[in-house]
Amino acid sequence: MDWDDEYLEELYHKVIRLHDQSPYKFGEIKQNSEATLVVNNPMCGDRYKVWVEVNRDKIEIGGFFGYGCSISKAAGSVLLRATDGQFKEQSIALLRLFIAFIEEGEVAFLSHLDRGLAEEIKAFGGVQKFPARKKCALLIASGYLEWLIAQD
Amino acid sequence: MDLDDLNLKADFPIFQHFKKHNLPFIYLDSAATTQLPGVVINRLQQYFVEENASTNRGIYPLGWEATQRYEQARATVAKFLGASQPKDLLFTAGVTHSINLVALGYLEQKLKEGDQVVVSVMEHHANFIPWQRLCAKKGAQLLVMDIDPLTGVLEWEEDKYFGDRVQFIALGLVSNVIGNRQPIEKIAIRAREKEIPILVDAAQSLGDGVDLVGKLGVDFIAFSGHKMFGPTGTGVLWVSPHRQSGFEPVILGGGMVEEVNIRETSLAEWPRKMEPGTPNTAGALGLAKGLEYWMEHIGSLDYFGHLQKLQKEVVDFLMELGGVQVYTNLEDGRGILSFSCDWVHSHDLATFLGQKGICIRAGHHCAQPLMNRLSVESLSRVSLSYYNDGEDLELFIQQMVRAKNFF
Ligand SMILES: Cc1ncc(COP(=O)(O)O)c(C=O)c1O
Repeated sequence: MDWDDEYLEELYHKVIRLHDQSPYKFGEIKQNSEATLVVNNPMCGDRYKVWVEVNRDKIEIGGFFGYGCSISKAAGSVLLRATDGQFKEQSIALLRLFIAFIEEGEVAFLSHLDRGLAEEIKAFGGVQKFPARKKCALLIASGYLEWLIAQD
Repeated sequence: MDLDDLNLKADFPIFQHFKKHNLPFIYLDSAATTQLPGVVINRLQQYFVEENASTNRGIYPLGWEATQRYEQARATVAKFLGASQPKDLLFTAGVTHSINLVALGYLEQKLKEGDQVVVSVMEHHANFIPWQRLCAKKGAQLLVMDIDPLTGVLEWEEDKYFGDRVQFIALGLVSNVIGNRQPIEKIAIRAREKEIPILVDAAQSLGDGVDLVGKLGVDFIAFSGHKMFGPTGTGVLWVSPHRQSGFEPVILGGGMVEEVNIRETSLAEWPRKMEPGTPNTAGALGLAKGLEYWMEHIGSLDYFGHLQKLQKEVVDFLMELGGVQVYTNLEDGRGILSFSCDWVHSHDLATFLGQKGICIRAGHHCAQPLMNRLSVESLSRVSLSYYNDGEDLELFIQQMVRAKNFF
């Protein structure tokens, strides 16, 4: 295996492969019900719909569905699973941590998270070597964060 | 002489650069932009080192010479296109600019509520959105020709596309996704019978060689320099002489006027009135040099056969690889093909191959109406040019096999 495969292995970490193969609540939505939010990356055509509700400050994920690469799908899966049933403020904080980690490689605050979750998030660290792919990791996170902040 | 034996790569410094550093560089994205031959790069450098002056303004020798050279470049492009006179073509910033000029400077003057404009579902956004917006603004209707999704062949023969309300037809010569060449000549004959002006987006016409004006029989031809061995941000709009009188400039400024006073301005003659501001002289010289390179080094060879041979090799391989759906047309292909794999998303594939120095394009290719028609969200595309050879394909094939194992 040559050096470039190492980066590829890192990018396509097994956590990402697993979530890509069986994403959390993917396609579990009720037919015909309006999605809460739609995110898309106009550069590549990746597009997801997310069904989510906030009831008494607690998040309920209905599911998500759409089309995109393994990184965008896996990132959506990890974040939706991690925030399902959690408080809104906590989830906003988590999404911010994730975004800072992808954008800046910021790891310091990940230690505040549950260890399993921190490991899952770190699995996306491979994008640091592929800046063009950061957008993929951030696709659902950014739209979801914006939507959560707008809920009062 | 076969192009394969020519080692055309030696003419393109970028291939030498990667070779010198012992890095793989398999460039399969020429439909996005072609690499530049050394002669073009040298031409640009020579202009900036020895000849730089403002075109159309200088009285001193260097300024006057810059104007001469700019007009000489126009003449070279005219020769390539088979235009009867150099003044029939305008230098622009590319196909996008050229088409918008026609939409806003030509058709907008004429289009009325209830009129129709014809495009096809396989157009690049550059040949779709300007017409769509103009129709919306004027209350006109956009008629969209369909294609056979398997071959990309246009279904153009219906009478409605040549009806009394049709004021304009705008079609691509070669699809940047499926890569097939459309029968523009036949469509143009029908359009002429009804005196409907027709524009051709010739961005991907490098495989069609010289004399597009004579071959196609259309009213407007748009192409980009950077897809024909020239620099980015350069392009051409050729306008048939009998469509020039109805054409108004869209952008106004210096260098395009007869006389300006406080009350009014009288415009210069065509083509000066259509090229306001200080032109991209170096770009025009580079573009012309790219076309000269084509005429001198490629035009006399079996260039078309070379592209088709490589294209067929890629298609045969992909079919055999399995889990791949290929979108192309081998009979009428121009070295461009797209595909989707049921085992990997196109972006993940492009990342993998990119890491191996293989450049392919992934995404919607600025052709979302076509992607919807094909019921796909995103495709991988291989597009070949004359410098590609069997060795490029060998490495592509080798890494595709590895990619399939990896994902
Ligand atoms: C068929 C087609 N039309 C138009 C364009 C736009 O060309 P440019 O970006 O040079 O204006 C392209 C380039 O991608 C193309 O492939």
